[in-house]
Amino acid sequence: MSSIRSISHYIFNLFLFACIATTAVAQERYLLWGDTHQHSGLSFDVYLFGTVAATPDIAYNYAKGKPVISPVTGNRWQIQSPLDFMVLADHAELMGAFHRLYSGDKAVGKTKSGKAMLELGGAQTDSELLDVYKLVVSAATGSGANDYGLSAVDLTRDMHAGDARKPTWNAVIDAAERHNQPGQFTTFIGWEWSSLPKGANLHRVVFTPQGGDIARQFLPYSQMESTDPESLWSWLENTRRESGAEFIAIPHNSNISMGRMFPTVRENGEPIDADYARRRMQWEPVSEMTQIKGDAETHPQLSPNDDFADFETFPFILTPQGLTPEPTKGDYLRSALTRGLEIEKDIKANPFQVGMIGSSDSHTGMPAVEENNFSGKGKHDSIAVRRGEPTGIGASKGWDMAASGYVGVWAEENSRQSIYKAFRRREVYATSGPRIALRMFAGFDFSADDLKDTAMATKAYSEGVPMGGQLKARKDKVPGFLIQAAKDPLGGNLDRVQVIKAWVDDSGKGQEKIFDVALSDGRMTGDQLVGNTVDITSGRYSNTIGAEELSIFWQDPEYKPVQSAYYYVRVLQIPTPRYSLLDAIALGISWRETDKPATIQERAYSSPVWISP
Amino acid sequence: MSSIRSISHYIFNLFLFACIATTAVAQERYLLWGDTHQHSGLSFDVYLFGTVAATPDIAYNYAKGKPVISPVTGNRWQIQSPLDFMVLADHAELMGAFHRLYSGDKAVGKTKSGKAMLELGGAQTDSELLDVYKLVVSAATGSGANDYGLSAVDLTRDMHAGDARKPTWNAVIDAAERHNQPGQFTTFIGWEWSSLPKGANLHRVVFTPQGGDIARQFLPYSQMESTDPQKFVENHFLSVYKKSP
Repeated sequence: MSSIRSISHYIFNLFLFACIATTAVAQERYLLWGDTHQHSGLSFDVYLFGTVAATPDIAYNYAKGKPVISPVTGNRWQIQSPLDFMVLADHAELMGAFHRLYSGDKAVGKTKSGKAMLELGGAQTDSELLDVYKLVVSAATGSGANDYGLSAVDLTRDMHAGDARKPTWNAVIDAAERHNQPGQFTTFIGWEWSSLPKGANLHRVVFTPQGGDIARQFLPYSQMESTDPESLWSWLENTRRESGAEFIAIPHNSNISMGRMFPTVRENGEPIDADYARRRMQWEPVSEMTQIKGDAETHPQLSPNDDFADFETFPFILTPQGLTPEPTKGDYLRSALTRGLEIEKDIKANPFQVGMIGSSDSHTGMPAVEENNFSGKGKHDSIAVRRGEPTGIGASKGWDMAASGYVGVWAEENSRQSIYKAFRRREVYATSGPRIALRMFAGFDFSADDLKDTAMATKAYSEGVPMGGQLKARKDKVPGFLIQAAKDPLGGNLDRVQVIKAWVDDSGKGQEKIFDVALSDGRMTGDQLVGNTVDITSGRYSNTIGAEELSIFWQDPEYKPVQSAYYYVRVLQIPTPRYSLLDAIALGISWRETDKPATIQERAYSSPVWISP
Repeated sequence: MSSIRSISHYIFNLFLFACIATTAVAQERYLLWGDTHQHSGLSFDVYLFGTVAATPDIAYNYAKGKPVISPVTGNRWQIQSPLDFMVLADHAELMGAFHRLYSGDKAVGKTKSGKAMLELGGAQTDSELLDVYKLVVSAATGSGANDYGLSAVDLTRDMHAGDARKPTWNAVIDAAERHNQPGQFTTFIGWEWSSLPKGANLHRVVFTPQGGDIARQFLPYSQMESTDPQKFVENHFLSVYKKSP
């Protein structure tokens, strides 16, 4: 299977680059696939929720395409097509403490916290580990006295502060170094900063392209040091100065940030200013907008004219109260990107000029988010029979989780620096899982003929900008977009290519519009739906509708050079079965009992191109 | 995936048969895929080794290409390309007795064997069911006295002989008839004759192309009737064949 997928993408690459070798050597770029958000049992929640066998090796081997023993089910599990790179992003908070404690590490076991937890959870049954989890929460939040008299100070001293995490961090680095094979598979040393002030998810994945020699000079910055992203940026600045490490920080799950991921004010309540915008864009060039806890492109209430807006919507705030607040513009990427333009008009700097990626946030120890091969968010929803039950993640149940996503990267080679630079220039994109190949260039001298040219990419790179780039508007010319999309060879055909445009109107208010720019099956209007071949009694579909490739040269018929605007591409697949439909058939229940649609239109989202006056 | 597979086989078929229409109309033949040897929890060993959720429906649905809950792991499982036909071939010996016993069927539960096994394995844990299995082996082979004083005669009378297997056999027939969809998916009514004289495996899967009306006229011939393949043919097939229209 993987060979079919790689051969056909190889052909796609050939098509794009056939003549480059004779003209512009420096700019050959290839499509690489990755997951920048994978957890192992070094994360406190993975371990204490009973997935004790989830090692970094299993996660890396799975991503590389090897069969592994699933840490959540004990079955053999294998990705259908290997990934090209991965970031193991375990929670920085108490990183590795429980794995080490229960593996017999005396340095942890002899502490006050360690002794209490060995007594409470020595047999490591699921229920014992859950009791330990409750003890940790009780101690950390000070929410109540506990039988062991454990406080936040105890926890921090015993399992986090000083050099308490050093052995784990060294193990993280060693695993990344061991699995990094330039040209074959790239690993990044990274972690997750898990800020959650008052239940607002402000999490960031952080990774560095540098190796272990540099990464050993610091320890992962965590929300126990500060929950304010600006403090994280300060730490990144200082650490870069002291160690030479470069970093990318990736916000994710803005959809459950209660408006605080892309706010109009700073965490301290002051309005966002140019310095905030500059610092944020220095560290956070991309945002993870699709993952297992939902898709954060937009929400039907924010984009009422978008017929495809209601996709894997996940509103469940990470608090025990089970809140599902109304969506706000600070929660979703499209409105955030637009808000960035609005703010830029005022302060002459855009704080939210971000590219878009997908990644898994899997807590199963494997980045397994292919729809028919989904292993769940964690152990609690790893098998179909448990997916109707609450997950413990807000008010969600198993079937609320999305089998999503991965990141596509256009890079010169499969190496740390090359992929890092692609993130920096935002030449990256998001998919909800399928490996849809997607390219997009914007420029003033393109034409439809360029699409037929085997050297198109060469011209496009030299005369325009790829996704993630920025153009200065010209009064004499209308910009044109070269867009190429190819289906996942193992997945559904393509329904349509859309361009999503947003701009700031004369009153300074953001507007958005969706253009159907390429449609399958000879349709003349996007109002005509592509159809649906899914048999809901068997969970199978056929590619008798849709297109294998859609390519288009497009110009905005409403282009106004005085407007500040962004454009990004959304590619929709034909409807295919959601994993919950497969579960329902297997369980012998109606798919309606999953409270989720039987079929979904999976998708890819390019990073935007910004055109400014 | 399945579409790639079926398209490429479709092309293969086209290649093989492209010119047939002009020459010999009657000979068009297509490639069909099947499994003639599938067990469910109606087999004594499947059930007593702990796979109690393995119904004929799951087996047929899996073969047809539907996702199912795996009776052995609890995961969702799905064949990559559907099959075209299947024979559910459960062991004829004590067929369905344990499934019925532990599903509350009083006709089995009230017998000497049934009572003993309800007492021994009522919670149906893996280890209890293994104890039941050992009891069955002990009784059937007479290899040792057991706590329940069960003999091969008891077992045969309570769970096999006469019409003891009739309700199960009817269920086997009903499942096959329910899943048989000519042109789409074919099922055959069948079973396994599990002859094993002195450990030598002489097993045979048996199936009939006839439907339930005919299959209801007999019960699956088993190694408990004879372990000799010759007798198996003579005693069973020929007599049935002669009776069949």
